[in-house]
Amino acid sequence: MKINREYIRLIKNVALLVGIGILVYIVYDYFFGGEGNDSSKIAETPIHIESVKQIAEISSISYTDEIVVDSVEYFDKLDLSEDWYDAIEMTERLLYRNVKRRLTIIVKGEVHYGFDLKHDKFSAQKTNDTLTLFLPEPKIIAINMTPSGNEVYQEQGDWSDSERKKLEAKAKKKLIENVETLDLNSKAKDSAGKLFKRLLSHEKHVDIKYSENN
Amino acid sequence: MKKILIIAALLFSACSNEEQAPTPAVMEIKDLGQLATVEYTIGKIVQMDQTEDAWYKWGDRKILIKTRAVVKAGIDLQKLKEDDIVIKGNTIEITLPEAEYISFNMDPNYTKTEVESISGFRDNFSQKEKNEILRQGEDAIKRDLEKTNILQDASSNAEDVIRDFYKEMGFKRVIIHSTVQE
Repeated sequence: MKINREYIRLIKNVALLVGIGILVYIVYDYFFGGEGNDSSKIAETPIHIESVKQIAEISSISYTDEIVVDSVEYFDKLDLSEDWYDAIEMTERLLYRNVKRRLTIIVKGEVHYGFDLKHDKFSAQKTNDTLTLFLPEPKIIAINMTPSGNEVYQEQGDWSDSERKKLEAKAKKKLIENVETLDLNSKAKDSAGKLFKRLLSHEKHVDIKYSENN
Repeated sequence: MKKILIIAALLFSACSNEEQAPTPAVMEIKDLGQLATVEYTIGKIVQMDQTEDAWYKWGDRKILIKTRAVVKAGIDLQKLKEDDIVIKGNTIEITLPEAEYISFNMDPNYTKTEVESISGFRDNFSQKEKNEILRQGEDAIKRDLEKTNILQDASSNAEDVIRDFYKEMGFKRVIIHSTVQE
C-alpha cells in the first residue's frame, strides 16, 4: 500500500516537472524564440507562362562572382539630457556598438557575355579559300541572380523590401563594372573564335571581324 | 548604476567600430559555347501561412509574394562532336545535341510583396525569411518547368537558327537532326 502511494507520488512529481519544463519552453519560445520555422513550406501554387520569345544568343563566356553588400545605420550622437532614460536604446547602443540597423547580403551573380544574333546583324563573305565572318561586338547577354544565390549574412533591425532591393541593385552594378575590369570582351572574342572555327571546320581559313552593334 | 550605464554607453559610442564584412569567394570565368534559342518568362505567386505553426502564439502571420523568372534554353554547341557535322558539296548534315537550360534569372526587381498580414503578437517577416520563401519559390518554378514545352521549343528553334546560319555561310541544303530528350 505504502509502495503504491510512493509510486503515485513519484509519477505526480515527474508529471509536474515535465509540465514545468513544457511551460518554460513555451514562455521562452513565445518571448525569445523568434518567428519562423525552418520546416515551414510554401503553398502549392501553379506557375503561369507570361511570354515566350524566340531568341538567338550565343554565350561565349560566363563570369560568376559573389559580391558582399552592406548597409549600416548608426544611432545619432548620444544626448545625455534626453536619452538617458531610454533604457531600450541604451541597451541597444551597448549591445550593438552604436549600430542602429545593419543589413549585409552576399549576392552570387552570373554574367553571360556573348552575341545577340537576332538583334545585331551578322554576315559572311567568301573569297578564294577564306571565309570572313562579320560579327557584332560581344556584349552582356544575361545577368542571372537568384534567391538561392543570395545569403542574408546579418540583419539587425527592420529592413524594407525596397532597401534590400537597393543593396541587390548595388551588387548587380558591381558585377557589370567587373566585366570591364576583367576584360571579358577580348576573352569572349577568343572563345567565340574557337567556337565558330569548330562550326566551320570544313573551311580552310576563317577570319572573324567585329563591328559595332547595329 | 545609471552613471555606470551612461559611461559604458559613451565608451562604446566613442569606439564604435564597423564589423568587417566577409571576404567574397573567388570569382570564376568559364568558356562557353551555348546557343540560347528560347526565352520563357514565368510568373508565380508564392504563399506562406505560419499562423498555425505554434498554437500558443496568438495572431496571424501570412505572406504573399509575386515573383517572376526569366528562363533561357537552347543547345550547348561545345557538345558537338567532329562526326556530328557531315559535308557533301553544297549539303551539310548536322546532328544537334539535346536541348538544355542555359540560364535562370529571378532578378530582385521582378519580386514584389503583395500581402504581408501580421496580427497579434507575431513578428514581421525578416528579409532572411523572405529570401528563404523566395528560394522555395525558385525551387518550385524549376520543378514545374518540366511541365512546360521549353526544351522542345528550344530544340525546334535551334534547328531554325542553325539552318539560317549555314545558309548564310553559302550552303544550299541543310539537314538537321536533333537529339531527343530521353
